[in-house]
Amino acid sequence: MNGFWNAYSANVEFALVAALFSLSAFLGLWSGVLSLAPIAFACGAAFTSARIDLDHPGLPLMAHLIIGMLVGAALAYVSSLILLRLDSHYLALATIATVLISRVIVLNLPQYTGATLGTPVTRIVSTWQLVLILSIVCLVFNSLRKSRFGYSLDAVREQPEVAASIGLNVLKIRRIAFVLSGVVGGLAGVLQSQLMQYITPDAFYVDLAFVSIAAAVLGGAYIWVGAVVGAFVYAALPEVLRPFLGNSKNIANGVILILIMVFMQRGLIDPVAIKRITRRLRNSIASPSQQRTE
Amino acid sequence: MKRIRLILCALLVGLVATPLSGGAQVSAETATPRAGARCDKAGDVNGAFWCEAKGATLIWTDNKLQKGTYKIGAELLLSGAAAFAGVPMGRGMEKAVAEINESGFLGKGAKLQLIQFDSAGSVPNAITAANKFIADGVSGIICCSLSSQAAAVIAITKPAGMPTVIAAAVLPNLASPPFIHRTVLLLGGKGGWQPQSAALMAKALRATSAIVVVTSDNQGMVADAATYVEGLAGAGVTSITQVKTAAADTDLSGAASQIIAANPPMVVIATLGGPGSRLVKALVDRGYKGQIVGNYGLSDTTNYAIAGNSLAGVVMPTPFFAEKATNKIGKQIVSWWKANNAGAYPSVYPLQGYTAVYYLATAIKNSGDGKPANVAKAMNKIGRFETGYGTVKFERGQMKFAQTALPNYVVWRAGGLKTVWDLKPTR
Amino acid sequence: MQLLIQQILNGVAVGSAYGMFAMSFGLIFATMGILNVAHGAIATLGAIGALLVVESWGFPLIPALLVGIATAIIIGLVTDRLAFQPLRARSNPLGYLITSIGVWIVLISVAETLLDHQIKTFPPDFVSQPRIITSWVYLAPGQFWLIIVGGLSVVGLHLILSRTTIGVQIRAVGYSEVWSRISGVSSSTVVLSTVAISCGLAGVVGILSSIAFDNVAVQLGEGLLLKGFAAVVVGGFGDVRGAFAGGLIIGVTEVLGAQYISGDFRDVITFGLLILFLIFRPQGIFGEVKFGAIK
Repeated sequence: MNGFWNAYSANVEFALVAALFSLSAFLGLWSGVLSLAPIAFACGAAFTSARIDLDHPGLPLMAHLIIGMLVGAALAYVSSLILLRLDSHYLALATIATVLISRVIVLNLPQYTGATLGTPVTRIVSTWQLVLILSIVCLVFNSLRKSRFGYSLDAVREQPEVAASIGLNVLKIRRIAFVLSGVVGGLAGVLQSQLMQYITPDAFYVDLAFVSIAAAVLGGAYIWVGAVVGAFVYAALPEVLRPFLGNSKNIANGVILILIMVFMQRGLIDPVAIKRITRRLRNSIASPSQQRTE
Repeated sequence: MKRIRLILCALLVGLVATPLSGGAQVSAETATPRAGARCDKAGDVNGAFWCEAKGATLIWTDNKLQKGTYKIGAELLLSGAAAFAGVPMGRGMEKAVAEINESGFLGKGAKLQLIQFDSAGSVPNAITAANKFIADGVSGIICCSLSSQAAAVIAITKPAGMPTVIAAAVLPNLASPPFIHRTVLLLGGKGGWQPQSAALMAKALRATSAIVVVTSDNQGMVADAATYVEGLAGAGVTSITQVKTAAADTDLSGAASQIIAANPPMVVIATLGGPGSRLVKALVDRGYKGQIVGNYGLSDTTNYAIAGNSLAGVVMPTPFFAEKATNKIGKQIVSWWKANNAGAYPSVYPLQGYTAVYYLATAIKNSGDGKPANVAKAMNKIGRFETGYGTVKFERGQMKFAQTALPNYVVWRAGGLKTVWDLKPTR
Repeated sequence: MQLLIQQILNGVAVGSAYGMFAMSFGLIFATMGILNVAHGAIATLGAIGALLVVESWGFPLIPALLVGIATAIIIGLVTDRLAFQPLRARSNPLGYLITSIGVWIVLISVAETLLDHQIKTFPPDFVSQPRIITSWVYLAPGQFWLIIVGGLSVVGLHLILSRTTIGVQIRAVGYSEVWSRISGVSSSTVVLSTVAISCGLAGVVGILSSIAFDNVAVQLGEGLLLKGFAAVVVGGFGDVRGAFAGGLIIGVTEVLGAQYISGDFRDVITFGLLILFLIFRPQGIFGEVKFGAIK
């Protein structure tokens, strides 16, 4: 067990934070918006936290996390004013553009971010703290799902016109989801920067954005658990397949992604499929004479 | 009579114990000098003691390393834009490790194991490498081709007390004993060969203007550019313009057009090898007729593969000119490389790797137990050291020539060969 | 003045590369609604295909070009069949993006392996003609061909789309798949043609750019993807002429910005333009508001 931990502790920690990135991507999907912008918010949060750490070392972890969440929320709110006005096709493109621009901004503020050189970050988070943070976020998502806001999100996602007609303010709901994605993204950004211990302009770029959303959809874009599962599967896959595939492990990730989208397009964790399966199980467990048609 | 027999015995033991394979920097000896043996000359080199008597030299060390396998971690650029430097460096390291193990350099039953890690030029990967090596329990780390990586790795290895040898990065003031040492001969400092070469060219041309091209997002190159400007100003150049490029630039036509429009008599290139070669090609293609002075990042055959005969006439100072290697170790490296690379001459990179490994291995050997703290102590005791560059000494962790050495200024010629620069304009 | 003209020409050369890529990328986006993030990798693989035959068997320029184009087309068709075709029956735009991400990961890994993780180049004087040296301006051979082929491709593509049957069918499907099916257009033929034209063009850009900029690397394709993406937004999706114009605009502003403002500002200008257009005129300079229809 010890040997396993020594070899894989870094992977597990990165997977925990990747789950947060996927959750932030999922929030957009939950409101019916394909948004890669949380990565840009994470970028802003990470560099702000790193800068503050350089100027005022010794702040506790909680302070950095709060800073990250606030910065993420602020950036998300401001961007939502511009981006959410756009039609859905252009919105997706615009969120990609936001990530591209975040890198350019980082490169052109050398005093703030160190430009190409980047900034070092002192790591103050421990592994169990990561687990704790992820668990708390998961609890929040779970209660969100069963809350009225959660049902509104479902409605806005599935049938925005119908939702509008029954009085839901679609724009406002999307905006709230956007800001929440900024909060989770900011959290993920600060934690990621601490795990990497050094952030450069490429640390929060389109590759991370694509992987986050891919993991969320892979795991199941219709429920928050999917994002977490997807992130872990995505992180674990290369290591699991390494003995068989050696260094071509990246190809495996790509192939799995394609296969899942072709054959299980609703992702690994699909609430509809789960309901169907549990119902069938329940029926077959009940004795034949007691079977009811539903 | 007794004394002569004593000396003869010691000589015999020395001859028998000398390893047969060539290239070892130190004739590994663990014989202790007999009491009374008189040395004509004595001193210390490579952390060991040497004694010259009756025309023969014995080298011995009092430290004995325990049996076992000693691990060293090497963070390398094996892929990415600078792989043309990292891959040969890795090969040089492997050659050194193989030699050390074959010749019993570390002592009886003690072996060296090299763990390589490809950072692909990224800083976070270099950090991962450093943490991994520390967790793996290595006796020392060799790292860092890029200045940005060096700063990040040092921030981790220094507090962890892990001896680190910087094998390639040129950013000034990186070495910091007891833990951080650098086995790179710096050519870019004030009065160094790089600004000197620019000043010499300026004087030969009686130039009053020059352009310095710099990779503005690489701290090492920016520092180099500053010393170039100083050197040129000292040689009477009054108008010096800096043209900025980025490490990742592949389209150099804009910078080249700017330079052609200004048409200075000479251009100094303080960039990384890739963009530098592309810039030279772009300049020559556009008919630039002035002189070009560069750094040793332009001196490799991969640069020739990119820019071809456009490189003809480019002047570069280099710490190691394989075609004219004079010392024993240098020559052995050259013949080894030529034998394995279809007769091609090596540039400085394999020697960088080779030297770093021997330096670290010597410290491990003298540490007695291979523990990082003792390796660092032993490393600090190394004063003079024999390398393929010549005899060097370590001052505050930084490698320098032991005596003032004649600069190696080389020039590319058409056809891909290099010759010594005669200090006159070449193009 | 002379420097200004020279820099504008440099900008037109690099802008032609962006423009050609934008056309190929925009064609798939406009016709099939697929934001194919793997498209840059296809350009890279086209360049690698050409490089391999040049390095191993010493092919001259034209045959190498044809091999590279064929490589890009084949890879494009195969990935379309395996990854995108199965999704066509369902109307899930998200699916395409995720699958294209999967394809992107696979193709990048293949490209890195083929290149041995190095940056390679074509032989230095592989394309040595024509070299335009006048007292006013200088054009390297690579730049010359980028401009010429760029011009030919935009004219050619526009003619294909507006005058030939298949071109009209492609545009019809882009406008409305339902109506074009009613009029008897076979969407599978259209898909095949669109992919072939688009990937072939991507292969051409990949090869010419790697010759002009002296490097064959994965970063080349990715750079083209991002700039091409910006060009498509700035110029507009619906019309290939708009996409090409967008590429030229970005190329010229980039080079002039580097010259007159600062070398560090290249990307600020490009992506600044991108954001401005997305906010104020998302359909681009020449675009119409309607969008892709094969889902």
